[in-house]
Amino acid sequence: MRGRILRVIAATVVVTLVVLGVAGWTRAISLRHDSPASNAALVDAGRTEELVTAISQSLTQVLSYDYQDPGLTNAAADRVLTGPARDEHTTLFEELRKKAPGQKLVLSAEIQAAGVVTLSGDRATVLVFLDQSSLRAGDKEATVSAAQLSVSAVRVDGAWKISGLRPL
Amino acid sequence: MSGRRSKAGSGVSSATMLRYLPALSPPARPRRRVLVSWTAALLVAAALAGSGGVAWWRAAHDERAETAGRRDAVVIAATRAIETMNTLDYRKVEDGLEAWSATTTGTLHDQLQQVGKEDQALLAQQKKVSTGKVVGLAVVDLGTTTATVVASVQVTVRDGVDAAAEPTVKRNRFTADLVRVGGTWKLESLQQVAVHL
Repeated sequence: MRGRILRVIAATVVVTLVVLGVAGWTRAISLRHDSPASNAALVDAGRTEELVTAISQSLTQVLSYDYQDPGLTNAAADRVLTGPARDEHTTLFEELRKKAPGQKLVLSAEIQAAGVVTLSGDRATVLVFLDQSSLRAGDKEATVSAAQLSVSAVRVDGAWKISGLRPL
Repeated sequence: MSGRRSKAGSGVSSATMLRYLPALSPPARPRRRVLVSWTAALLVAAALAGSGGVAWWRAAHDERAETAGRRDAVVIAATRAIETMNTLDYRKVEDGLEAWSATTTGTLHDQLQQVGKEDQALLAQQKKVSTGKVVGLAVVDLGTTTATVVASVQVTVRDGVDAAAEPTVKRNRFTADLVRVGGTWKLESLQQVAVHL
């Protein structure tokens, strides 16, 4: 009789603990899943800064162009672009290579501001304000244009690469 | 007779008892095994409950989640405020200015307070309806009560007189500072990012 009561108590305790444990884990997982921290932009300051630096450098390189040294732009594109961004750049680059020497075209890009919109794992989107100036033979002054880009990036082998560029 | 019957009866009963004996009174080793299994079950259950509790507590008190929540609150408030500041209907200038006032603080707020009747009349005379829409926004700096954002804004301007006229659409780049005042994020400054080369 005493053994039976003990067994019932023990069983109740075990069941209660299991229910509590499962409830705790379920709640924790759902909290983590819905957590705004799944977007690490600004939460992980180091990675956010690293991303902004990488994207700024890469964009400046691939959007600058000198008719005297087109290889520099192309090499940069090989290094920092991937996917659709790489394909688009190839099309643009071919166009430039045909026209640029005749016009003695020099393009230079400069980042005005950049901020991380989303950063989760190996994927990120960055908002970039960029100025691009173009100087042609016979121009007294460069033509300057202002751009606003939504940049998609992926981390490949530890380095951020640009996979998409969308003008806003 | 009776002794035989009793003997037979006791014979049956002892046979039954013999059959159930192991179950009724298990030997020492299985009993210890039962105790060990109960203890193990209790320990496992306790470990599960304990770890579940710790996981729950940690998820609920995550500093990263707090920062991320603050960032998202800034994004929402900045989007709304920047859109408000780029929106004005010539028919409701006063309402528009009131909305500007309500969404700003500090120097920007003070400047808006100085918009007089003459300026209001001027805005009404232009007969334009502008609507701002934030098409991209990122927080670039985040403190506990201060934040800086960059935003790409599409401003649509319609002519109030000629309803058939195509609206003009402009894209502007802004940088804005926000301050948390009494639990709400408000605009402290809003500036266009000019071309600078």
